[in-house]
Amino acid sequence: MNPRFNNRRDQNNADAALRQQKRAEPPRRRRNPLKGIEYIDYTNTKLLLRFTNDQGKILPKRITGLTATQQRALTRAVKYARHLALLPFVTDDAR
Amino acid sequence: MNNNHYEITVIYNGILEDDQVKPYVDQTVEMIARHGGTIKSTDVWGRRRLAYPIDKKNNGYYIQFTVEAPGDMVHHLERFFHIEENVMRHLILQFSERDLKRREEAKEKHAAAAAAEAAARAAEEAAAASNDVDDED
Repeated sequence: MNPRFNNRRDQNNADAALRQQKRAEPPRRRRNPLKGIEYIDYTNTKLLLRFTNDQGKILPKRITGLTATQQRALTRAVKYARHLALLPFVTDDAR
Repeated sequence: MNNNHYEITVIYNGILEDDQVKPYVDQTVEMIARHGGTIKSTDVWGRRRLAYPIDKKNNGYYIQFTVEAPGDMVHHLERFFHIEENVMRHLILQFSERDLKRREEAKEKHAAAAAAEAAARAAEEAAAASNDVDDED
């Protein structure tokens, strides 16, 4: 236990305050990552590339900011595109 | 009989010249027709570079059909594609009426965007060219 505090309650309160502070900046969420595109087309490689990292991995929903439904559609689209060699499975640029 | 909507994308061997692909495409079309499918539209993408090599080849000849067909056409077609050596890859997707419509719209938008971008690039190049002329003066 931290000697700065007399009891656990004080410490807990201090911790909570600290957490509050850290959260002061609200998590930013891109408002509409699809920009009016209502259907994720697997042939639209330019769109799909926006949601993959440099290695060609699909970015998590946490980063893409897509809804669960959209993210599923995206995952499917990327996988179809990979099958047709429109997108790479891996980009091995790292030496 | 109840027909479904399918989108069939086929990648033919990239080694074939454009005119050499024709018989294989015709064969596929024939295969679709024989199993009760009617082709609604054919979209020829032509030769494209593959994102990764398939069978040690870097190019493929892409063609996409939109087909209305009974469900049992699919496995006949799958079998045909597997046997046919000049088909490197294929993808058969089934679409509901609603998805098909949404897909068509998305495709149109996509095509329009691509066209607009090409136009913009052309304009940019033209501007760059005229700038070059200015520089010489």
